[in-house]
Amino acid sequence: MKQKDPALGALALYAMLTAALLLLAFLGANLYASLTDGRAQDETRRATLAYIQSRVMAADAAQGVRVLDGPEGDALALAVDDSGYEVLIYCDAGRLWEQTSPAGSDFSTDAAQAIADCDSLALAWKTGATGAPVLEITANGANALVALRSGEEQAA
Amino acid sequence: MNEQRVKSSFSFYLQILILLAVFLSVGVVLVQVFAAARGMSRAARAETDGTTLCRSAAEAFGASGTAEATAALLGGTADGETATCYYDAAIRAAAPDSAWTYRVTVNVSEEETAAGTIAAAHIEAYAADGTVCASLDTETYLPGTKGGTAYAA
Repeated sequence: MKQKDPALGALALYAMLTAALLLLAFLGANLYASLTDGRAQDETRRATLAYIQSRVMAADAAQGVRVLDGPEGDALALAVDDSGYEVLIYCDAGRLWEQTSPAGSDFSTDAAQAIADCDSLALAWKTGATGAPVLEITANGANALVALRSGEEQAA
Repeated sequence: MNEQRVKSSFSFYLQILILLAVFLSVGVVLVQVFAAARGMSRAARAETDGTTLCRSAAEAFGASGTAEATAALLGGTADGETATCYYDAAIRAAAPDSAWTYRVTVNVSEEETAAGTIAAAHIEAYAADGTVCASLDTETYLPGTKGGTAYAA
């Protein structure tokens, strides 16, 4: 009867060990990638919506908030007190931009600061039962509402 | 000579087995850590989305003052003093009979005070499994009484 080669058994065990190690590393890498992707998406969504909400609330004054047609979708024009300047917030080339410029200026990413990744930005006015204007913000597919207390905002 | 070879072979296989056992133990621990991290990430995402939804509902309530008007703004339904709205994973309004991810309820109550009528809302965001992701309390003066809105998160 032919005796089995012990080296062959050892080789098989090492092969199993290496295969299991590779499998574990592959699964771990996939899990880690999905975790970081999910976190990045959450941060982008949270940053974009929260940022726009906060900016609109801060600019809540008579004629302080206007909705314009932006380069890609809608854009926000927020008046900077009575300085004659306004802050434009818009989506262009997959990013959300903030541009501070004299009122009536054109959109230009060269003069703007990138805020976050943003695929789309849509803005719509609604009216609450109290008559207060409510701005519906849709950024990256997610919705949020902001009720404006001054009550004198308008779409351009 | 043959006995020594058998001992050596046994020792070698024993080492391999111990190595395998240690390796498997590490693997089990790592899988558990990854699973826990994934669960925490999911919970954090639900909390973030829930907070955003509660904040939106509070804004809608601040501009409405009633459950029915709040539901109309949010794209949901009202039943008595409770407005309910459903959302998908991307925080878009969804139909109640769809595979929704979040449910937001706004329970409205009114209180007559010397200063006027105050409408209060207790807002809660639930995940599909029924757990509360986030909650928020807010109050607003109804129109024609005092005007303005006060928040109490």
